[in-house]
Order: sequence, then C-alpha cells, then structure tokens
Amino acid sequence: MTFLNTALLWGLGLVSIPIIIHIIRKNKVIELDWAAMEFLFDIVEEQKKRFQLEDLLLLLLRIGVILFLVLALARPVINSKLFGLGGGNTIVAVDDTYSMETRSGTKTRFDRASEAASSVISGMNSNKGGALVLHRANPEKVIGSLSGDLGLMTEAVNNLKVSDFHGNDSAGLKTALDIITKEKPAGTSLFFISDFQKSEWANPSPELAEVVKSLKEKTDIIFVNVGDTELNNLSVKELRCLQESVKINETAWFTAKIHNSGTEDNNDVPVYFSVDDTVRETVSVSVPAGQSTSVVFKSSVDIEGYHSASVRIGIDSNSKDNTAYTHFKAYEKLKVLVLQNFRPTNFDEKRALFVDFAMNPYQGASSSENALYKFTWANVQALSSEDLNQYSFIIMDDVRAMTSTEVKFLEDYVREGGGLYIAMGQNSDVDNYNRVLHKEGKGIFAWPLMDTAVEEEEEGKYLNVQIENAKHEIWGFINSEEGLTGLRLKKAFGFLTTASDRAFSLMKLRSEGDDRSLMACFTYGRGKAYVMGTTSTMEWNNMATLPVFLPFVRKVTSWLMEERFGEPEVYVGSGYFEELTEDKARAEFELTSPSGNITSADVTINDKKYFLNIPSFKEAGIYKLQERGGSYSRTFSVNLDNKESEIESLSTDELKTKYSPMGIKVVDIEGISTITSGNNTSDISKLLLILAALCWLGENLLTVLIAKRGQHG
Amino acid sequence: MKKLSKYLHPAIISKVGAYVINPKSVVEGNIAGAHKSPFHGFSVEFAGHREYMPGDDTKHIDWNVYYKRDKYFIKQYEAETNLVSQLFLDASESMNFKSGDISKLDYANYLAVTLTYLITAARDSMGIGVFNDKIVEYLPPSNSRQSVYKISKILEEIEPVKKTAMDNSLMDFAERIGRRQLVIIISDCLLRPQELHDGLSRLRYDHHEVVLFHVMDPQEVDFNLDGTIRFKGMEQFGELKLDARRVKKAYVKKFAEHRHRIMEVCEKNNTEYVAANTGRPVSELLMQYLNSRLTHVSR
Repeated sequence: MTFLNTALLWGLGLVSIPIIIHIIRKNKVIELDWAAMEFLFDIVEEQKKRFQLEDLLLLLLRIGVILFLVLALARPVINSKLFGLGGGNTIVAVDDTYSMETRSGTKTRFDRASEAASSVISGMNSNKGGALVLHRANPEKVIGSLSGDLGLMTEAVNNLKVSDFHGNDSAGLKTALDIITKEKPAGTSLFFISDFQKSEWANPSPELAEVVKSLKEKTDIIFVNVGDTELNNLSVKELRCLQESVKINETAWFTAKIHNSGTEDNNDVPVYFSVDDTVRETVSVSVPAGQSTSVVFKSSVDIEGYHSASVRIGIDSNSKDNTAYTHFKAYEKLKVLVLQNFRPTNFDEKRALFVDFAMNPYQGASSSENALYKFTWANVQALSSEDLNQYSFIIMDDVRAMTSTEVKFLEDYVREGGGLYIAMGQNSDVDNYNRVLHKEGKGIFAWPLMDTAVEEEEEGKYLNVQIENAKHEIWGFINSEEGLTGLRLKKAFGFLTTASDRAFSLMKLRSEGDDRSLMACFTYGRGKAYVMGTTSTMEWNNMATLPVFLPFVRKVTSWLMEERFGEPEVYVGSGYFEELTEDKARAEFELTSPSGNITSADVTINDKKYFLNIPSFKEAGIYKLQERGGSYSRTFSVNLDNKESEIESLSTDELKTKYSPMGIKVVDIEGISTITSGNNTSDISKLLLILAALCWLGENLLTVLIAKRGQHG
Repeated sequence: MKKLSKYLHPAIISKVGAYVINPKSVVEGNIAGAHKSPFHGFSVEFAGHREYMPGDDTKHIDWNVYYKRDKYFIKQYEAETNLVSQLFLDASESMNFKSGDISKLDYANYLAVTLTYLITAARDSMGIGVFNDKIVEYLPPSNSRQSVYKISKILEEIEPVKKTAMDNSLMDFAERIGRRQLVIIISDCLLRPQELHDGLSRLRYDHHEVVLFHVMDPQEVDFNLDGTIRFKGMEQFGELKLDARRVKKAYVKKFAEHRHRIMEVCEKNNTEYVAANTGRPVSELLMQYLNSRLTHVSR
C-alpha cells in the first residue's frame, strides 16, 4: 500500500487525541462521599465486563474516526494487481524527437523518458494490454496493438533511441487515438512522455485540442514531463552551395548558418567544414543569443560527379543538431545552346553574349578555361539536328518562328526536365509562337501571347512596369521592385493571363485594366520555361547594363536547371516522389542511408504511371539512391527540421496551467510513480472515509445508547 | 440568647405542636396516664371482678357481690397509663451524607427532637438510644420537658462513625427497654434487610409498636449525577470511579429494590414504615405522618 499524500500521514499522530481524551476523562473526576456504596459495588461487579467492553469499543471507534480520516486524506492506494483487479490498458507514447537528446547533468531527456516508460510498464497489469508509440512528426507504432507481453514492451523501450525527427504536438496523440479507436479497449490510460518544448507546446493548437477532446472520451491522458531547464543550444541551421553547379578544380562557395537558440552569447564556437568527409576548413565564430551567424566556406574538388559537404559545430547541450549536410555535383563543362534565326558568324551577332558573360564571369566568357558553361550558337534547325539532352538549358534569342517538328523536339527536351530561356524580340512571330508553343494551352506556353502590343507613348518614355510574385526565388536578389528601375521596354505583347496551375507571371504593366504578363514562367512536364514576352526594341545590352542583370540571369537559369542539376531540399521526415519513365518501371532501386543501411525503394504504379516512392527519410545525412545495375542515381542531403532546436521546455507547472483545464493530468519524472501506481492500484480513500464516518456514527450511537440505557432503558 | 436546642425548630413546632401521639395499641407505662394499659388499675372504667386475696385493699371489695355470693370479690377497673416511647436513632457514618443543605443525620435529629417534644408535651415519656454498630448513647424514658433538651444535646454531640449494625443494636436496645412501648427507629437503613428483620422481630416479641423512619437523601433515591465521579464510600467502603450516567438506571433500580425489601421486612414485623426524604421539609413529613396516625389509630 502506498500513499499519494504521504505528508498527511503526520496526521496519524492525531490518533493519540482520543486516547488522551479518554485518559483525561478517566482522570478528570468529581469526588463525592457516598453512603449507598454497596449498591454501586454490586452494579460494578455485575456489569464490569460490559463497562470495559463499552469503554474499549468507544476508544476504538474514536481512534477509528481519526485513523481512517487521516488515512483517507493521505489517499492510500493498494496494488490491485495482487487481487487481479484494476489496472486498465496502457498506451505509452514516447517523444523521440531530437530535442530529447538534450543533456542535463549525466542524463539526457530521453534517458529520463526511457526510465519513465519502464516505470509505467513495470506498473502495468499483465492481464491488460499495452501499446508503445513514438511521438514525432512521423509517428510510429512500435507495438501497435494492445499486448499483455510486458517483457516485449520493456525490450522495445530499452531498444529505443533518439531519432532525427522533429515534433508535432498532436501526432503521437493521434496515433494513440488510432489504436484506441481500432481496438476499443475499456479503461485505458495514455502516458505521454515528452520534454514539452515551449516552441511546440506553449500554445495548444486547435488540432491538438480536438485530438485531446476525442481521446478524453475514451482514455485518461497523463503528460509526463521529462524536460529540464536547459535553454542554450547551438545548431547548424543551413548549409548550401552558392552555385547551382560546381566546376572541377574551381573554387566553390558554401554558406552555413549557425543559430543560437539560447539566451547566452556563444563566442569562439569552432565550426568545421568538410567535403567528402574530409575537414577542409575550420573557423571560429561568435553567435549572439537568439541570433544566427552566416559563415562562408570555399573549397574545390577535382573529380566530376556528386560530392558531399557538411558543417559541424562543437559539442553543446544537444549534439543532434550540430551538423548540416549538402551535396553538389562537379562538372568539367555544362553546355548551353543558343538559338537564333541564323547562326552568328561574328561576335556582334551573338545577341545572347551577355548571358554568357553573366554565367561565365571571366575574360572571354565561355571561351575561358575557367568557364563552366560552354555556349554554343546555332540556328533554330538545331532543335531537330542536335541531341538536346546534352545541354543544360536552351536560350532562344528573338527566334522568328519554329516548325511543329522542331517544337516537338523542344517539348520532349523540356518535358524531361530541360530548361528553356526565351527572349522574344522584334522578329518574333506571335502567331507562330501561339500556334506551336501555346497550342491552345497544350504546349509549353500555358498562356497565349497577346496579338496587340503595348508601346511607349512617346519616344524615350518607356513602359511603366512592375514585378509580380515578388516572393518567388527568382526575385530573391532584390529587396524591392525598385531594383528594376532602369529596365526600359518600348513595346511588348505579353501574355494573356488566365487561370493555370503551370504558369505564373514575374512582371506586368503598371497600368490599370491591363493584366498582361510581360515575363512569364511555365512548367511543362518536369521542365521549365522562362519567357520574356516582349517584342520590344530593347537591346540585350540595354538590359545587360542594369546592375540586376547578372543576378537575374543566374537566378532564372538556376531555376531552369533546377530539375536537372538542383537537388530538392529534403528534411528528416519528408519523402521523395518521382515519376519514372517507362523503361525504369521494372528497375530496382536501393537506398543507402547515412548510417549505411541499405533498403529497397519502392516503385508504385498509379494511373498507368510509374513512381519512385521514398515515404520518408529517417536520418540526417547523405542518402544515396542507386538503380541496381543501372545508371540512375541520386543523392539526397537530408537535414534536420530546425524548429526542434528550440530546446526550451515548459515547466511542469506551466504545463499544468495550460493542459490541466483540458482534463490532462500532468506529472514530472518524480510524480510518475504515483500515477503509475494509481493506474494499477485502487484508491481506497473513499472506503476509508466511509469507515471514518461509520466509526463516528457508531461512536455517537454507542454514547447515546450507553447514556440512554444508564438513565432510562 | 443561647439557643436551647439546635434541633427544636420553632417553624416545625408551630406546625406540628398541636398533634398528640397516641399509641395504636395498649402500652405499659410506668405511671398513670391517658393511655390504655394492659394492666387492671383503678381508673374509672370497670373491667370485672376477682376473688379477694389476702393483701388486697379492702376498700375495693364489692359488697354487693358478697351479699349475693357470700364471698369476697374485688372490683377491678382498667388501668390507664402513660405512653413510654423510645427513639432508636442511627448514627452511623452513612447518616452524614447530604446532597443538599441538610444531612440525613440532621434530618433524623430534627425528627427525633420534634417527636420528643410532642411526646413529652403530652406528659408521656421519651427515651433515646443512639447506635451505629452498637448502642453508643442511651437515655431512659422520661416525661420531663427537660428530656427534649437532654435528647437534643445528645444528638448535637453525636459524631456519626462506623457502620450500621442494627440487629445487635436492636437486641441490646430491646433488653434495655420494657414491653409494649412505642419504638421509633430513625435510620437510613443502609444495611442488609435481614439485619433489620432480626432487630424488628425482637421488638415485635416484646409487643412494641414500632415505627421506622427511613431517612433517604433525594440524590440517593434519584441518582441525579453526571460525569465521571469518584465515589468515596462512607462506613469504610472503598472508592469507586464511575460514569454516573451509565449506572444510574441500575442504581435507581437497586435502591428501589432495597427500599422495597425494607418495606417488606417492616410489614412482616408489624412495623410502620415512613419514608423520610431529606428533600422534604420535616414539618411536612411529620404533619402527614401524624395525620395518618389520627385516622388509623385503634385501641
């Protein structure tokens, strides 16, 4: 038997009160000379045993009143397992998100969570079932159906490790709700063991409130807080390569963001930059409290192909988020095809030369040894004569018109992920463009070109334009649309904007009632197209003189090459989904995790299409996807979701304030034993209260009875 | 002015002073009086004749009978004598008990002195025997008015000690007094009924008219006590600590039974039983008692 309020057991001393009163009353007597003593002696002789019995009974009842009352207030519980009673089903949800790796003293939060889970399991009744759930953004049912095998649950808990996942306040509870809904057990308790980060739990989301409401109808919810007071944590928030592609033996630039989510400044933090697991550079940075510091690294590689890079900081309170990963592909050269109405024969005829300079900022541009992009000039017939797939992207510079056949090759190229940069000019035939590229919305152009142009009102007064979709990554280099001041357009057709899920506009006229798009972006298959929809008299050099030209071109081309050369940003918990060409439908793929585990990646069929499907990445680091016996390969840099780096926990009192009104019991690691014992034990305080009341009643009845019998009856 | 008798209270005398105590049967007095004697004397009331015996006074010879029978017959008349009364007062330690202003002994003393006054006022004699386990004081009967003061003095000086032993005391007392007298016993009767029976039997043997004043304190009767009480026993009984409420019923029952047995003993021995509750004024008790004597007196 244990007591929930052991402090009140001091009250047991009160039991002495009736004894003392009993003794005092016995001793507090009136003395009286009495003549008829013989009668009294006779009575005592006759009723001595009864008097003693009554006295004893009265004393016991008075002791009983106080004893049972004090015990009831101390809330004793008995282990009902001994009687095969009580102890309902138990679902244990353990938070294994990476914030649980936070160390305070000798133990991490997860160490305490494991102890708490073991404590809960040890208190379970084997006659009832138990389930084990991992709470995180991608919750997992370790034991997904109620099992009475406590050994299995204990073993499962012992094998748990902190994951790289981030959290989601309602995910674990939803999973528990699934189990309860599915199994419909009676009398279930849900122990939710977590560090309850402030960033996640300070304000209960409506979704969480909804789940709690549903759960409360079916189970008791107990929040077990294993958090600590640790606030300070450094994390590597981001690492990326500043170039979309890297040339071998040329310097590549990387930037990393070191974030301090604590309340104390961190000075001289060592930061290690590695390429292909070799430390290339070490710097020391200072990170003010609550802020981020960006660090730039440079490095070069001498082998073509994929390379991994990582940034790591020294050990702090949470070691999980101290490393960020990225990867890049190094090339000797990347080819760019520039199509004009005719193949230029001299320097002046290369109208797109400024793009070349923007992409290859060296003397001689693409002809330089250092240049990554090799520009090839050709006329439009090259679409049908050249293997377009060898080009990183294609520039069409004021091409007058194309044949359907040529466009078919172009469409195939774009559909498979190619990039198309179209700069329309005074020679461009709008009708031809609409016919072969728009094709009533089925072509590369999602929108049709307007057949009437807008022109400058008078000489030297250019069209007044403004940017659209200012938050798009292409505009990421400017702070405001004023950055485009100086863009001089004299005449433009533009696109008639209609509702389409594969088109967006980057620029339009700043005039009311005219929504035509002057710069439009289209997606087509896996590829993309950027179209400067003007037939302006604008010269390339006109725009190229603008300071924004170089970043604009690099952003646009980066966007165009994203599918082929860029790698999607992947976080732990997110997945990867790719439509495969038919020839890959029967291919087998294997995924190698950062820790070296190799698993098969599934190919699924949906609507006669084949998809490579990786449901979720579970570790931070570099994953490699390789076709067995094939050429297909991909590399994924999987990073942590940085929200979880905000390690500050809510205190148990704060949790109580927020969640007790929702009907959730909140305890800390010390209080869990009382709850677990309470879960498998029966609180007999009510019974004791009844006993105390019965004793009180009995004492009064006996007193009245004695008095009545002594006087009348 | 010096008070002549503590127990001769004017308020009582003023109420009962006019009463006369007549014996309910014949009494053997020592002087001629107003009360019927078992002896033939020479009063006015003719009783019969007997033959003359030498030594008889010749003046009592009935000459008319001599003429008819030729023998000497003496005329006899019923003797009338005085009432000789004896008080037999219990002065054991238990008589000292009181719950109110007056102890049982004081109450008994008031009774004794007032009765003495009434007896001697009628020129009858009153004697007293005071006893506990034996007779501790004895004053022979006297019809002198001084008897009141003598008896009162004895009672004032008496120190109630020891236990009641009525049987022996009454035996002794019976030896000391004559026959056919009025014996008034005043006691709290805290004794074994058999003791009383033995004593009264002895008195009945001598043809005494016996009256028992059973002196009781109201608290003894009703036991109106509360709380835990240490009862300190009189007459060398020990001590007893009791919750009064718990024994009340049993005690009251026991006391009533005891009283009932006393009354039975009295009835068996032709003794008049008078309950004397000290909670009741002496004058009231005496008035009631004397009135009842007037209505029930028989010769």
